Amino acid sequence: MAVEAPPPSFGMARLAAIIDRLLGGAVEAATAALVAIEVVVLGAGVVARYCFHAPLVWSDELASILFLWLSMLGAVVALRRGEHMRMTGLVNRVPPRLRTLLEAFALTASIGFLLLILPHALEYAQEESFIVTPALEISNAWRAAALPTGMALMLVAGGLRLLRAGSFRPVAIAIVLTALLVLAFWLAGPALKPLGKLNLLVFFVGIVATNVFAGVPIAFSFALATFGYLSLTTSTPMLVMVGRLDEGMSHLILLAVPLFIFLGALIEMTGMARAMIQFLASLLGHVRGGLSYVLIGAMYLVSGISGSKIADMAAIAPVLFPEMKKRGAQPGDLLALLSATGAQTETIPPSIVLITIGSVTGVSIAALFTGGMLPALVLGAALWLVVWWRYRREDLSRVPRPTAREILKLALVAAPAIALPFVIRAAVVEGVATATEVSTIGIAYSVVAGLLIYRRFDWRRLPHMLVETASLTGAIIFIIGCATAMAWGLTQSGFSQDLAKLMAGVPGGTWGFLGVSILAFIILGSVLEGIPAIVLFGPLMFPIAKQVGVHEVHYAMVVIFAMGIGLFAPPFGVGYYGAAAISKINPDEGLKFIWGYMLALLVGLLLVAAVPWISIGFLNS
Amino acid sequence: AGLPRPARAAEITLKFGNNLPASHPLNIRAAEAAERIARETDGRVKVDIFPNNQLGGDTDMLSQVRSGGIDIFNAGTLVIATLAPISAITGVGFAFANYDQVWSAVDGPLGNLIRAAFAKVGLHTFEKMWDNGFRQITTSNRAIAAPADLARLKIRVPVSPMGIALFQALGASPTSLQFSEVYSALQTKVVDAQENPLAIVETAKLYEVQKFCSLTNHSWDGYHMVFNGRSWRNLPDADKAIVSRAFNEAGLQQRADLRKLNETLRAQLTAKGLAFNETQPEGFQAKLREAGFYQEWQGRFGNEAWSVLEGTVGRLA
Ligand code: NA
Ligand code: NA
Repeated sequence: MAVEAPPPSFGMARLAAIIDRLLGGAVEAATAALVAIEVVVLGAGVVARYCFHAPLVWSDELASILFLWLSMLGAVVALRRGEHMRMTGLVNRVPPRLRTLLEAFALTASIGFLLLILPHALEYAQEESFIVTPALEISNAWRAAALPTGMALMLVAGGLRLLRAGSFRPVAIAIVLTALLVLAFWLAGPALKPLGKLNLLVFFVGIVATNVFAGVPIAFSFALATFGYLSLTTSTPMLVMVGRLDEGMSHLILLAVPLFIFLGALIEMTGMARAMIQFLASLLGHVRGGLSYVLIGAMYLVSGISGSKIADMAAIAPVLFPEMKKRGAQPGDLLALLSATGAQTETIPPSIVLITIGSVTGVSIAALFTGGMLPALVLGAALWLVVWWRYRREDLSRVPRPTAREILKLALVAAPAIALPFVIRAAVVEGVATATEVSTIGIAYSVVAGLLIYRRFDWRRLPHMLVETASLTGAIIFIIGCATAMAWGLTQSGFSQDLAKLMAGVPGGTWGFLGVSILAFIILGSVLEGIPAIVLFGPLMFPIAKQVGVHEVHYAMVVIFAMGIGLFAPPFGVGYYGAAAISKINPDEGLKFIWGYMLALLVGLLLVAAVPWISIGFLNS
Repeated sequence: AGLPRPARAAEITLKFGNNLPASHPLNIRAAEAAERIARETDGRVKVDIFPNNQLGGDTDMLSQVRSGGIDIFNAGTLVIATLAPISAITGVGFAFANYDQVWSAVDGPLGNLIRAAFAKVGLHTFEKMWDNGFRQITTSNRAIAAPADLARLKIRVPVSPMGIALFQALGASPTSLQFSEVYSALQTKVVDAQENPLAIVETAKLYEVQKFCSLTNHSWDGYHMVFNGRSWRNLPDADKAIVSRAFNEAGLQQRADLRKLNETLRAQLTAKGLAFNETQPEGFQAKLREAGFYQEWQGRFGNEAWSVLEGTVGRLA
């Protein structure tokens, strides 16, 4: 993450700093309000439906419109603060002068994309004004205007950051370099077009990788590649890309992300996190790597509540990470383990991935729900082994072993906090709220517990918490929006048919097919952002699986985990950056640690693939 | 898979995006139409089909077909009503008694009225609509035999002014939920009921989490095959004729498929544990009349369109 520029001393930079502060304050206030309003809107929906049997038909639509605004304005805040996720591993290793240039380039490349897309975003908003939203019956321009507004504000914020940078030369070079690159690609367009599907490699591997390693934020790396691919090699009107951003960023299920982030902050602020962690530490603190086991177990329990992995993480990381860091855990290891648990828990019901597979293939969703429990345990065990290995020499000689009496006392204090995940889970299982809405119940519970039980509720910290939530949300959801656009580019090329044919032709019967499926879905999960990979390839691959004698539920587990490994592994996996953002740890730091966990997941996956019983042993048909 | 190798590389590639599984009759017949088009144009025109929302949700695909991101889209009547409100008129509650009435309306004057509205917003529409089916109600707690059974029933409906107004007028508590949340919401009983054509109940596996299926036929649902105006104009006239014929004739076949499918589905879903019951429309219609539903929608669609509808189905308001 970029460091704040030093206080500028000369005219232009000073003026820029002043404007930036004013703009930043206004946008931050708006985003804070949006987060708070979202909580109220969704909460009102739950209360009206569950308590008064009078559902509000407009609450989802309003929440979704506000969510797009929240994400776009959050992305502005993130850009202003330099909080868009990026890989700086390479950037940090080059000589200082080149590094300054690359830092500037990361910004000018982002600005370049925003300049290219802004006219199309305006056109998109204009076109959407002809649509009347179905619930509120207002012009859809109210929603769509969030895109050009956010992009324009990002442009201003980006421009101001360049001015604030204070040194003229690297900025000028970066601007010229960016312009030259855009020009070069534009000129090369006619030569690229005849390459056909080879362009998928040029843009979605070549350009993405170059940008990512040059330190361009992940979202903008995806966006630039997608824009280049669509505009230079297809006849797609570019407002389609804006439409993809719209759909990718306002998917209601993702609203759980900001709400769980806020919930996590709330748990921390009210002291509930501390109570919880002290109790858990008293139980497991004297076990080597104890809290890492808690992390794995907690993800297994929470997973399937929110419907979004990143939301699950948002509820857990703020509780566990501060204490784990205090006990000497390396931040990179925490990030790596968190990301790995994201992949490990993909098959735990009620997983949106399982429902998607059931809907696009012929497999029973109920069977998938049953089948998913044990495979996730197997992969969890694989992660436990790595933790055990890594922490086997941890020095715990100074950690006192608490007495039963002390543990009991801590348990009493922690009880209302420990109850929270069960309250949330019960609210979902008992049908009080949907996966998206349930976070509001958690928030309400935490507010009450904070005010009445723990008596710790710092009102002054609320605005800061809301803005933090919005900034994180913007950084995460904007990546997802850009990944959604990228997936569209890949999908519309029709490459899936060719690939499926290729995979079906792999020799080796059942094992050959399972092997190539694992490999393919790891890559597809990574470049297609998870679920789109399932939607695209599920219908093509499941019939082949059946032909070669693989049980469909078994096959589902194999491809979900493979997809998950791709999704949560760097350098392309969106899930990995989500985990980094949530845990506020630089993505670079996790690189050293993640491969051990990913290897363990892969071994677990091979076991699941080799032993069908793990997936289908409990099915009653 | 059985696509014949075209004589030469396609000059025109058309993208057809839709929201149904590849196994749905709509996709099977569309694939046949694509094959036929490739054959009859000597491979000049190629239609790529993207089922299952691969290219986006309904509202996004509508925006894509308007801008030209995709060329063809099977617009559900309620989806496209956000752009051309008149389209919703074919979904008026308990309007059509049977398929004969449906087809004579949408192949005739009512359909022409709707297609003219699409033309005004720059979309070309093939003459023959495709079938999605009459919508039926499934519940987890009770069979719906009369309007009274709907009282305060928490039922998920797709968000549309018409659908919501219909169930509110019938005394139910309609709830808006994304389709992707419906299975879980029914399982955990966030809502007790949902309504969809039988084919959707089957493909989305809703029978796994529902007990009753009441054949209310409360609303007919179909698809307009809409075509991006610009790419339609750019198609040579000879190809226009071929593409039109292929899609319209495939549409007629798809209607027959779906009718047959609905009969077999009832048996299939019964075997999977859904308890079916049939209902009579009169009681529901009376309740709607009493609640002023028909009058309200007559006002919203205008007297001209409403009288065209009543010309086929008889007096409603
Ligand atoms: Na889950
Ligand atoms: Na990715």
